[in-house]
Amino acid sequence: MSTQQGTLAGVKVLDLGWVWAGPLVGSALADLGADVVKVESGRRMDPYRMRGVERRADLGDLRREASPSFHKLNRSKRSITVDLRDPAGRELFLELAGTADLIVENFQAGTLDRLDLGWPVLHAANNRLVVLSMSAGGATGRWANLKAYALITSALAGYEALVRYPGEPPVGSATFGVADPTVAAFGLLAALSGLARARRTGRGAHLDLSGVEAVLGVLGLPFLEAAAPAAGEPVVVELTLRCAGDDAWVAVALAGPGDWKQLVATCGSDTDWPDWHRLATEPAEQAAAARRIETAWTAKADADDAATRLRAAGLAAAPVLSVEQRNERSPWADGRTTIEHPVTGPEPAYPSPWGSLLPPRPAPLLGEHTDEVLTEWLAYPADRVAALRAEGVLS
Amino acid sequence: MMALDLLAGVRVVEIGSFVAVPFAGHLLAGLGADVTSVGGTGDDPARRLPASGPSLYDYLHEHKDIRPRTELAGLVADADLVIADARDLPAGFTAPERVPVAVLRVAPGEQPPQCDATVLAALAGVAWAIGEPGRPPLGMPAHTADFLAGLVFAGSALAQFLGGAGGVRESSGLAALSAFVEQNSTSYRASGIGWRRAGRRAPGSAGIYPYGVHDCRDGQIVLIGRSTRDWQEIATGVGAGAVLERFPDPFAIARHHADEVDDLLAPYLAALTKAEVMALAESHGILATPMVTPAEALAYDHLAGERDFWATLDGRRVPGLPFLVEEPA
Repeated sequence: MSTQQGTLAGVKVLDLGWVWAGPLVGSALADLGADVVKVESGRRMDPYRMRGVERRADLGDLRREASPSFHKLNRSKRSITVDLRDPAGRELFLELAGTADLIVENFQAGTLDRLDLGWPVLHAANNRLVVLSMSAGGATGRWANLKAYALITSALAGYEALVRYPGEPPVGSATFGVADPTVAAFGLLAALSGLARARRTGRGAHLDLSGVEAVLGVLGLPFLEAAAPAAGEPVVVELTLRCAGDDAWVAVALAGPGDWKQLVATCGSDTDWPDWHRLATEPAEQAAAARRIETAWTAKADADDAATRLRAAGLAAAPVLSVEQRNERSPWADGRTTIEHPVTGPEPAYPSPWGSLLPPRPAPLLGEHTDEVLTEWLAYPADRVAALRAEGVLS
Repeated sequence: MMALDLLAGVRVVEIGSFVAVPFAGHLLAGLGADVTSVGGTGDDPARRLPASGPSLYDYLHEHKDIRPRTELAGLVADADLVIADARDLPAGFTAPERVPVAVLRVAPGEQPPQCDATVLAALAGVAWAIGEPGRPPLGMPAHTADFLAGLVFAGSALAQFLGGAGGVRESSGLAALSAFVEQNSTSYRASGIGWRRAGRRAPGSAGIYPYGVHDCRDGQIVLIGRSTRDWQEIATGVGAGAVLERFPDPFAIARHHADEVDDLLAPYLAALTKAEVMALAESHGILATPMVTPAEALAYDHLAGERDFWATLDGRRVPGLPFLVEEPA
């Protein structure tokens, strides 16, 4: 049964999210104490159940319960299976929506409308309901049918073109995938705002979020720069300096000529360096200065020691950590706990950046809580649930 | 951009400077909250960015009431929520017991000088995976690490407000960036690919080739294939049937031959313009996009119409909130 307590205790969420951004909103809500019920069907389960285990045929039917990525994005939720294409399944979903506070979905725009479960229908079922829809380009306008993965979303927004070595063509950041967490963070903010108003006024709303717009939303500075009448020197210059050891680096940010002077002094040399303006505006000078500092100092220094020395000099600096190093040493990792998953065993769990008020529970098995949720949310007797199952509605 | 009333009547006091906390306040103000800013403790670098035209400070504070720090105690006494950068909290700061106080740090237990984006990207494991192998890691561009930290902080603070209890709760930008890296890196590590710099591709092409940035005649495009069929369509679409014949399995390419196939594809793509690649992508059902610069993105007029996305600052386009609110009829 539901055991959630916390900031959002009592908030009931139907999570139709799949892949990454949608489920991340649901898991953040669950971490905050909401009762989050993930809705899938055996015919159309979240494809992320196979993420990273695509080629583990040896696991048989358990493969869909073995993805570490899925586990991270769906912890502390409950799972029900309902076939929304079946008229009885659709009716059941509407009954659930009638008691829910929030629905989260990130299907391609128009999918719920095609199931006759669009906003007008959901609102008619529950006028306090908040529905958060997150699609690549929003439900209206030129990009309403846009299909996009993370890298396409961020490239369309202009983010990827900014990821480059000074003076060189863009490299992009295909690995990090900035789009999904950005979309999810805006989605959560929108959902919480919608819940706040529904609580205050009793009015629900449909929140139609666009992924491309979400990434555009964190690019305020480059847009101001692009529209500026004259280019100037940057306020911050970032140098990443090679240190002793394999692929070891220290990153330092310089916020003006004072910081640059301090770095040069820390390096132990104070002659014949470019002035701040040249450093900040000429990529070749910047690269040459970095190589000189490496030769004079950091290439022979431990990255942690170099960062410590730079920070002692009043500069913003840090060693560049791999994920493994970060998980061993970062203060963030101090909040790590272990989740015991019934199929895969112990897995590390890290605190939610939005706040985790309870120890997390393992991601649900497909349909694990169907009977429980129908009993708790809708007071269905066991024989009614059994009949729905026999009819294939809960498959 | 439409004026939203989702947080109408919520009184927020903001204590902070530069990007993260002011961006959180900017978002809450956009959602309808009454946000009063008392700024930070010293010079705000956001006033000097960019070098000309409206500043980042102007953008982040446009819809706030700006008050001197001497009024802080009175403002906090009437507040529903306080959001603060730990660096900028006055010594001995207190708030009434009923008021939730959300405090942001760069990382738990530490406060470096005010260049958080560099430190965040380095400590969270983001920088490690961006850039060319063997070359210096790249951080996140244009202070976006700070913007993302502020965005997450806004959600965290709002959740605290919704919880209805007063008291101080701390969160960190490092937690936000680290959690996002942890989520993404998990699948790479589970697949045995690892989380590392791989240049213009994701490492191991994220499992299936292609997944990255490619050159064409007049610029760059992003190409993504997520199945054997996608790879077949991409290769035949750009006229590289011979490459497909030699390398039919996109999973094997991703693991063992991505550099070689990149090189083999290069002349086919170099013969095509971005527009030609996009036309092929559309007709073949391929996921692709041209690499768009911020200046080009600013010219998205269609986002000004039905989507009502852009806001204006001194007549210039700036980003609004990325969602529309559909009200009950």
